[in-house]
Amino acid sequence: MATTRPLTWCCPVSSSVSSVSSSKRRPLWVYDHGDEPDPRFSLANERTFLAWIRTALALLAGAAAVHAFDLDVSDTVAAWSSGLLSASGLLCALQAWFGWMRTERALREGQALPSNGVGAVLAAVVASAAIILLIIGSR
Amino acid sequence: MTRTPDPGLQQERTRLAWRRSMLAFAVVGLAVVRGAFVESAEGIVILAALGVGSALFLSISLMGSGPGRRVRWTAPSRREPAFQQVLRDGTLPLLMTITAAVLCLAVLANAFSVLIG
Repeated sequence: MATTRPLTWCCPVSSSVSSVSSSKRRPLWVYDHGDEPDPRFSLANERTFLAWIRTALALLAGAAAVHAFDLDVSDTVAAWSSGLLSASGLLCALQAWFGWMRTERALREGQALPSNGVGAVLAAVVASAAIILLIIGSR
Repeated sequence: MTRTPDPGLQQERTRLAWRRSMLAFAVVGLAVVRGAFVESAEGIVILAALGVGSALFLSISLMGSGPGRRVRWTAPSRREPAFQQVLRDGTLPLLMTITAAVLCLAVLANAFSVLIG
């Protein structure tokens, strides 16, 4: 086993991981680089991915709810807030995937983890959707 | 080789995270499909097809996490042989991202059509 694991308390490190060809795993942009990290880090990365996906779904649910409920706002206001919410949901979904890829590769290469790129944009877009719906829509 | 339990319960937490994400997917997918039948006619076909696609995707992925299968790209099952053999890749995350993105695009297009027309 060429890699050094920070913690090997679970089981004796066998050759089971290195015997599996890493070329079968996709995307190659991730798995063609570096060495197998501690599995717990990969699992944590996966949960972060899922958290972003759920955020995207929550925003999408909000966008759909603007249409579903008969709000006392004009069609234009509803469409703008729904559009902004679904656009931010799209942004979250993209962050989920690309963040997962970049983090997994950084873990494999022992590099510093990438920063979160969409936080400020996401906050701005969601805030504008809320402002449109609450302030402009209530006039 | 005795198997020491993982005090952090990483696999269990990840499995539960997959389950609640799939549940959210099912709920939101159904809500979007239902909205499609209420909304204007042109969006119905696209959205319904997307909903069916995501439901199919959901069932396939849940099958993958069932017991007795060699789990490779979904949540690990209790029969996972050893902690080091948790081999996962990006297939299911990519499918999930694409489905979520397409659903978002459908709702976005619906809002856009309201603004245009």
